Amino acid sequence: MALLKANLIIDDEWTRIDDDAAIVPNGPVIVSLARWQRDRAALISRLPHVGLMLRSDQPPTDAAGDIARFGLIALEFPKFTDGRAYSYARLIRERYGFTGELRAVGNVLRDQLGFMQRCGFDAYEIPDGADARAWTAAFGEISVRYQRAADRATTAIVLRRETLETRGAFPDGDSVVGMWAY
Amino acid sequence: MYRYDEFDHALVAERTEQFRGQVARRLGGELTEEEFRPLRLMNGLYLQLHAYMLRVAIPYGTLSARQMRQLAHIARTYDRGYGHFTTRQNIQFNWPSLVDTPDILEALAEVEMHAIQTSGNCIRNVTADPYAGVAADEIEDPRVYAEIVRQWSTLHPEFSFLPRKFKIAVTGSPHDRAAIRVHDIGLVLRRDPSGAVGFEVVVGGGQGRTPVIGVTIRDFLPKRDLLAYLEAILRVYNMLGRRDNIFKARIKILVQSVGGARFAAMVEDEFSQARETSADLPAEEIHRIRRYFAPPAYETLPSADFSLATHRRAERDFDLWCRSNLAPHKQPGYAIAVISLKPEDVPPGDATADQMDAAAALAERYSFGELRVTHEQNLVLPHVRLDDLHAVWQGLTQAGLATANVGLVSDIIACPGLDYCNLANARSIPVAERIWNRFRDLDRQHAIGELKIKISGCINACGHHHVGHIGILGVDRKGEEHYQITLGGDASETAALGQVIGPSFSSERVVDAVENIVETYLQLRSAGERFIETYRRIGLQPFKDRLYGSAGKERRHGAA
Amino acid sequence: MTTNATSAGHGRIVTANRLTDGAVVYLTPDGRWSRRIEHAAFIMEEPDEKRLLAAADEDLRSRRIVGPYAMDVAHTAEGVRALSERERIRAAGPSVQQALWAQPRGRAMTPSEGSS
Repeated sequence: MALLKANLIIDDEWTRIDDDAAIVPNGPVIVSLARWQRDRAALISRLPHVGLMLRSDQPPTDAAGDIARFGLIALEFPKFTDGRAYSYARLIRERYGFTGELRAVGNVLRDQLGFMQRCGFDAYEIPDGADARAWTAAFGEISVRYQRAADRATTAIVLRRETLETRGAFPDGDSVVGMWAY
Repeated sequence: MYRYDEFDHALVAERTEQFRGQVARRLGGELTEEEFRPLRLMNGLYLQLHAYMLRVAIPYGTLSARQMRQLAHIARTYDRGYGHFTTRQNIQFNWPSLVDTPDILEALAEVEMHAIQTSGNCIRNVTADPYAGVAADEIEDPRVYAEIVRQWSTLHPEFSFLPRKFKIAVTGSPHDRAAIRVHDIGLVLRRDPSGAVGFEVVVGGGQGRTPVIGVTIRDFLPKRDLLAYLEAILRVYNMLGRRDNIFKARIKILVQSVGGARFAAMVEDEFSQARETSADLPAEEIHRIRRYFAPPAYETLPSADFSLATHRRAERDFDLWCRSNLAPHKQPGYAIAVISLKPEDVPPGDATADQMDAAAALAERYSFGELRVTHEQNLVLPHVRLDDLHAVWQGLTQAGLATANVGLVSDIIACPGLDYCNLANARSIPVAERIWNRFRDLDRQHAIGELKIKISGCINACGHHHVGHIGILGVDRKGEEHYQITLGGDASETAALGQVIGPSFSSERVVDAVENIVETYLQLRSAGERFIETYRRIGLQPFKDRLYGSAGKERRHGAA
Repeated sequence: MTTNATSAGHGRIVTANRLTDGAVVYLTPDGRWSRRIEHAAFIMEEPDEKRLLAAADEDLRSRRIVGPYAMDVAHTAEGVRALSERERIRAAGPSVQQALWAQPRGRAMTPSEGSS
């Protein structure tokens, strides 16, 4: 697997450790939710160099109080059709205030990168040998955003309002007076 | 009607380019069929029985004459000269090639149309009352909010890989002509005690294998909260909807399993937690969009027209057409005229390219350039002057679009069925045609009155048979086409699911069965009672007795 | 062995849809894909079916076709006949409105198409 972040293929500094692995190596490690819940007391002092891996049936509420403290959270897409992690990602960013690396792992397809980024992902596990340029081109394919999301990109609604405020009128000359109230 | 601004234009242009790239990568081998399939579905391209099928969105069933002419052009240039209008106010082309589809999408973008999200596990075309903006009984035009929801739901990054498809419908009238109670989300514009207009929110309706009437989870939702509340519903569904079994993956299953009250509580909880970060709906955006739906420049006219009455007295065919194909308009001197796409021996909902052009020309001349598509697979000219109706009827007659049967027994809704569809168990179009033949006398049809027959070729119920007054479901019985009949379904505000009447009928016998049902109704109805009213009064038993005899056996039509 | 000779009886053939235009096609004995069901390679034994499906998978990978599968047919004096209603319709086209759909895709524009 290759790791795509900030439009580049980079080395992964993080190590995934199994639930049964006795030794936890130095350096940043990623553990499963089960392991975190079992060994929380031992691992907590290593934060933020501990990352949490969630399966698609594990919503972030399962680790609510700790979410913002991890250095990395990895969300799994077991099949690309399983879209639960898009919601999890938004909650992790917008509800729990997580600012670390939010990584998409599993069945990650190029044509989903745009959606993933808007939901708050900033790192993506993609197939070995994938062409970074071809993949990162996916981010720019759709520039218009109709709806607010975790990436805080400016939406069409905001851009339209700015136009109205600047012009003081609609394109056909109608006044905007009275348009600001429900 | 809505006109794209620079952002809307940019989105469909970018989307078309994106799909062009995806097609190239598919044909060049970078994408497997498994990877490509959800991408082409999200652009409305199915692989069906004989060929690809492209489903083009007609947002809330409103389109301009120019757009209709472009659909005719697409039918001629890229297809086989016809299209099919669907029960979700869309149009389907049955024979496009994959190679041509990017060009078709470009032709659609030229007239502010697209095929985005007309398939796939995402939010589909938002449908609305086909008489929106002109119905006499309307509180407020639902298309304003249908357009708002359309934009909000387009390429929504969080909700593009839902457990299953998601369908939203909006009505602005207490008379529900949008079947909102059998949608995943149904929105009803209504007033609160202070007179403010907001939404009743109905969730978890649906047809298919497990038909359910939706439950109201919010009696009154202020407009400003519309998108945030929808997001809460979708988020709860996206996280908790089943993903292990496609037949149990719709939101109706989730609502039924936790119960309506509990589901409402979950949505309210998510809604209140997400206030800061949810989709916003500022007042000026509502106003901006509402401006596009301002009424056209109606003339001030008297509410009755002498020349119309004269024509009706003079020409029986025109009079019949006026009786069945018109609906009351809120502006005096105008009428809503329905274009029946159910002439005899034509698949219900089909129109040739020439007919599309004819409808466009009539709209340009007589209806401020605007048309509608209904979920009963007909077209509408929404603003016709009473003194133009005769000329409109003549124009429709020339194009084969003047059948005087709207709402009558031959105004049948039918899915494409086994003649076209990969999912079907039986054919539906031939059954519709044979029912039409059996009741071919128009006077008889008018005497029978309102009777909605809906036919589905399989349990997916795209023909909406569960909410037909008479519903017909095609099944496969030991390799033969059989048809199961339900009675008493209703898609309106008095929504109800039909009841199965008994064992299924063979293809040979099903039309006899329908005729027996109609005759039973005619014998037992009170004066002025419509079929559905009679059914509600007398119940299923008299119809069962007639079809199966009190011994429970199927009776042959006409047997001694 | 596979044959499309006149031996009567039941058997199987392999069908798919062409990738470029979705047309229904049948796998012939020489490895081509034909629009005509009577050209299909008639399979009577399972090893042959496996071999043909493997060839079809190869064509799936090389992007000639999508969704290949084997289906039941009867071989009669009149020719190859699909056994299920679905496959009969798939081979013959929709059972309604043939005058309309049997015309070629994208036929020449009518004179009225000059302006839009």
